[in-house]
Amino acid sequence: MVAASEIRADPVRVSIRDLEKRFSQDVVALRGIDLDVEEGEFVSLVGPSGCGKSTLLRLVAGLDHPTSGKVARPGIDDVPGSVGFVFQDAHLLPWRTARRNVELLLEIQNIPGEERRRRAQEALARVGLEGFEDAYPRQLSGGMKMRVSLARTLVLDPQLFLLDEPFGALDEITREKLNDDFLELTRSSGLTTLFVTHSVTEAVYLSTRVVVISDRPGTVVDEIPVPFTERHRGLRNTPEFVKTCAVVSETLYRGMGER
Amino acid sequence: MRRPVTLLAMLAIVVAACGEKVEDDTISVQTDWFASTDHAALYAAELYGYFEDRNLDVEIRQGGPGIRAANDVATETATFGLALTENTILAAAEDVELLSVFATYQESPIGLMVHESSGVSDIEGIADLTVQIFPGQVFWEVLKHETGIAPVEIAFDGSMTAWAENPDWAVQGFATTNPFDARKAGARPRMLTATQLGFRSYAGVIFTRQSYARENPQAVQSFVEALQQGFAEFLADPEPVIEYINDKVNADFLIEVGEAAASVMQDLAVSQDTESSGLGAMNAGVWDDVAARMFDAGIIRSEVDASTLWTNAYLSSHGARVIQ
Amino acid sequence: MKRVVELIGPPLLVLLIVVGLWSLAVRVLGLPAFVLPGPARVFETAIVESERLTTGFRNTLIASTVGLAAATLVGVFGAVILSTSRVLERALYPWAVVLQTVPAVAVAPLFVLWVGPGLVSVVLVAFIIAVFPILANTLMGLVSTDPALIDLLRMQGAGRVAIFRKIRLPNSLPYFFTGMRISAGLAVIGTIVGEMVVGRGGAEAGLGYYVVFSATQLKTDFVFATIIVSTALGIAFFLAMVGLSSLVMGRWHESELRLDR
Repeated sequence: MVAASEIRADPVRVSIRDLEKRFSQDVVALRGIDLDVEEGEFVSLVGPSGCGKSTLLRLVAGLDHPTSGKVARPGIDDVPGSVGFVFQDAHLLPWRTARRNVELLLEIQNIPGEERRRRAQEALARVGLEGFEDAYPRQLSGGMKMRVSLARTLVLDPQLFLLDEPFGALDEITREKLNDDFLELTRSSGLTTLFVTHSVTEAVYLSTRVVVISDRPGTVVDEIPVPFTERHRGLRNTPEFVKTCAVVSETLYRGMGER
Repeated sequence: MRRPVTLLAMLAIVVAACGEKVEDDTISVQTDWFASTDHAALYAAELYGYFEDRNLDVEIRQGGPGIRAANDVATETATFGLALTENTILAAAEDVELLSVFATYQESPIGLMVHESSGVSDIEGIADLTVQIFPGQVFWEVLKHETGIAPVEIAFDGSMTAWAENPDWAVQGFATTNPFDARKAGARPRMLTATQLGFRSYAGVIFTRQSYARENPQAVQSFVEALQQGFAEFLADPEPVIEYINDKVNADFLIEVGEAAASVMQDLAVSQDTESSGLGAMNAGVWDDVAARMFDAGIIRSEVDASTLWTNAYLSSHGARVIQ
Repeated sequence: MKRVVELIGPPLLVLLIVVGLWSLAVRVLGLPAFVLPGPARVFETAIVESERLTTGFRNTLIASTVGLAAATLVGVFGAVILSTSRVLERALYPWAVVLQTVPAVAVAPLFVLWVGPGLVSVVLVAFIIAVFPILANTLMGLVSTDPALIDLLRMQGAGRVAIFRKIRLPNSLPYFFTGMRISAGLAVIGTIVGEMVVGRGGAEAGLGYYVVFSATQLKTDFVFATIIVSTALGIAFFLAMVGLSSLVMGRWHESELRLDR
């Protein structure tokens, strides 16, 4: 593991420079992306569907390689378990219980069984699934499955948390509840988060900064800082919140017109 | 795979089979195998128009694997059938009343073919061989029961290839055709017919339902006469009939095989009975013997009175005169 | 217990109805026994021929089991090999399809030539018929894994072996059992077909041998008894696979859910 002091020495967790990604000669997914994410930030990527925001997240995760440009994760590159990734759907193993699903990635790190079990139990408690350790995925609701999926990544104690529309498939109520619980989690553990969503409200509610990506080829249209320090249910109805959302939407439309 | 499905399917087949009755004025004959000189009496009568001479409209159907002539005659899908003495007796044991009216072979050419090199010449010698034979062959089951031999047995797949490769194997065969084929393939076969092994019965036996014979005595009479006439003609001069079978009926039946068969048939087709009663004749001794031995061997579960299963009544003794 | 009744009740009822109709049809149509023997007569024959049927059942059971075991081993091993490489899969899978289309009855005589008659030849026929569903289904299970899960494991530095053990192998289980359920029945059919054309007689005779044996002797009731025993064996094989699959993965696989609701 990298010493905590070393990490603190460089507050930048993600550094993207002049990144381009082509899928073929004609299909350019991303172009000229520059983006920095600092420690403790919660950055949302919003953009029209097909703009390449998920591709960008995969590049940051190292699941894919850029055609040109650089993606760096200072201090945490090559540190196992330092990057956590959550997909749009829960993607649980149907043959494993909730606890054993959470243990999956710890098994890859060869963490002994006793410790695995303890940490999985803790992680499930953190996402509010105490008592559901032995449930199989098919016995859980969509929201609960997503919580297991979050726990599976949280259990790694990642330095960087990457989420690809994790609540997109859930109903409104479940989604808002998960938003609050998730905020609580990231806040309490000081997680650095990069969050892809197509919901402007969600982006503004969760983030410290919203990055708007244009229609394909994806470029950064603008970055909008979010001014609130406190998050609570009533926030969504305040004029400042609505105004911030309007700015983001405005930027979004600008990005779609720039074709 | 499911039992109800299997049974329903069978039922459907049975019902369909029952529905397919022959037309009243057509006489259909179901043989036991693809056309060959073993059916020479039928094809000769057809070739020379002996059926037409008697105003008979005859349709000869070739047999093959899975075709059991006795079944077809019993279910009235055929008027006449061609098989062995044993088949009429087996049918009788199942309460199917058939009547045999003509025997092509006085001694069945069916038997076992061994390699000359094995030196085997009798049933005791067979005990040490591996025997490739259609499961359930009566002559073989009877002989095994009576002698107590229990050689290794394999279901016969219709191919002589494995036999040719194994000098200590015996294979089921017909004396008329198989030894010739084997010799051509480079083997040195020795044919041991069922008779030589100790079980004499008739083969190429023509039979019909007893009820049909009762209701159509004239048709049966004319049909048997035509067979006798055709068979006599064939024995006197096999070539035209062989060519006819090869050319018009079954191109796979080669002329040279037919010629080889015809030379063997001269001996198998005649006996004292045919001298006195005409070609196709049978006698009570053989029928009673076969029936009794089948009962003793447990092949049929009830005793069968063989005397009602055959007759020489339709034969004309003049059929004997052409024999040289 | 109630579940067992619910499961077995309906098909059992169908069976009773079919046997009833069968019995009735024989009586009403007045069909001769050799065309369609009634259930009573078939049962009686089964008792009389019980020694042959027992021998046949035992030998067919042995050959089917060996054939299915061989098909399982080769099928699973083959699927694992093919799943490791696209190139291998593309090169070999078409040949597995060809293997499936080879008429096993037609090649049976060649087996006799190569490995001699009897058990080995019969098992080879069963094997040829049974191997493909296991291979094809297991392969599909091994490769049709959730790509997101694979990404997730790769991000944590998991290698091919770990991904195979944690994801691919368990993912293939339901597919594997689907293949097994098909192949279990096919192994019995293959064995019986093999016995019909290259099976041994006497003490080593299987049910397929007796199918031909009884048909040669025009004993339709014996043919029926043999078919029924063969079918029972096929059903037993199928049920064994169903039992095995719900034992292994009854708790989580969707297709098993209906049973514990």
